[in-house]
Amino acid sequence: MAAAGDADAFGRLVDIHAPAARRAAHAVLGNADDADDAAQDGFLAAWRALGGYDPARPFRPWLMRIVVNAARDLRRRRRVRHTEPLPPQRAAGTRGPDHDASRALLRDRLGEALAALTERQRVAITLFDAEGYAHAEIAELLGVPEGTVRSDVFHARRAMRKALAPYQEESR
Amino acid sequence: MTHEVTPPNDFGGTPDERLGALLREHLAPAGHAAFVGRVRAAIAAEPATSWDVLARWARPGVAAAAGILLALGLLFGLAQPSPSGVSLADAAQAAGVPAVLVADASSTDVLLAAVVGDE
Repeated sequence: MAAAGDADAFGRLVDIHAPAARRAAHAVLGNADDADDAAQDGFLAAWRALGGYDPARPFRPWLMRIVVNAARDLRRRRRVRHTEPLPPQRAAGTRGPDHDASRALLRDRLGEALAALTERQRVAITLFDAEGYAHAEIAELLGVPEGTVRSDVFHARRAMRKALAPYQEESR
Repeated sequence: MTHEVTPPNDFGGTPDERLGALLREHLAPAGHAAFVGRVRAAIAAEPATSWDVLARWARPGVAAAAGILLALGLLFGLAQPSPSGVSLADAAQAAGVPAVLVADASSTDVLLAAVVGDE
C-alpha cells in the first residue's frame, strides 16, 4: 500500500524502522540532532523513490541505504560537528561503585571510542553488531567489498574493546 | 558489575550481542513518537509522490497518444485505394453462374471454369 502512494501505510513503516534508521544516522554523524535531520531526509527520499523500489527485495536494507546516504550527504553539506570526546576529568569524577554512575561512565567511554573510529567503521560495527546485518549486506549498502567490511568490523571491535577494558577493570 | 565485551572471533559472521546491546543503548534515539510525527507531517506536506507525478503525466499522455494514433489512421486510410467491395460470389452471380454451383464450388478454379464455359 505504501508503494502505491498511501501516506498512512508509509507512516507505519516509519514507525517500525525509525529506531534503526536513527541509530544508523547517529553512527554516521555522531550526534542525535543531526541524526534525526538525516533520518527524516532519508525517509522523505525513500517516500519519493518508492516508485523505483522492487517489492521482491527486502525493504529495510533498501531504506537503510537511503538513510545512510542521506546522513553522509548531510555530513558533507554541513560539515557537522562531531561528538567531542569527554575530557578525562569528567569521566574520573563519575567513578564509583554506584550502578548508574558506572553505566554512565561506560556510555561515556563508548561514545569516545565510537567517535575515534572512522565513519565507515562506525557504520559497519553499528549495522553488524547492533542491527544484525550480514557482512555482505553491509558491503552492498556501503558500496565496498565484503572483505573491507569484515576488516572494518574487526578493527572497530578491537578499538572498542581496548577503550572499554580499563573501565571493566575499574568497575570490578 | 562487569561489562564483558566481544568474544574473540572478530572476523566471524556472528554479531557480538553484548557490544550490540551497548551500541543500541548508546545510539538509542529519544522521542520516538515525536520523530515519527515529524516525518509523517513532512510527508503530508510533500507536494506529490512520484506516482502522482506519473499519473498526472499519464492522463494527457494517453490522450495525446490516442489523438496521434487517430490522426495517423485517418492519414493512412485516405492514402489507401478504396476496396472494390465485390466478392467472388457476387461476380459469379453477375456472370450468371447458378447459385448451386457457387455454393458447391470447392475452389475458385471450378467457379472460373463455369464462368469461362458460359462465355
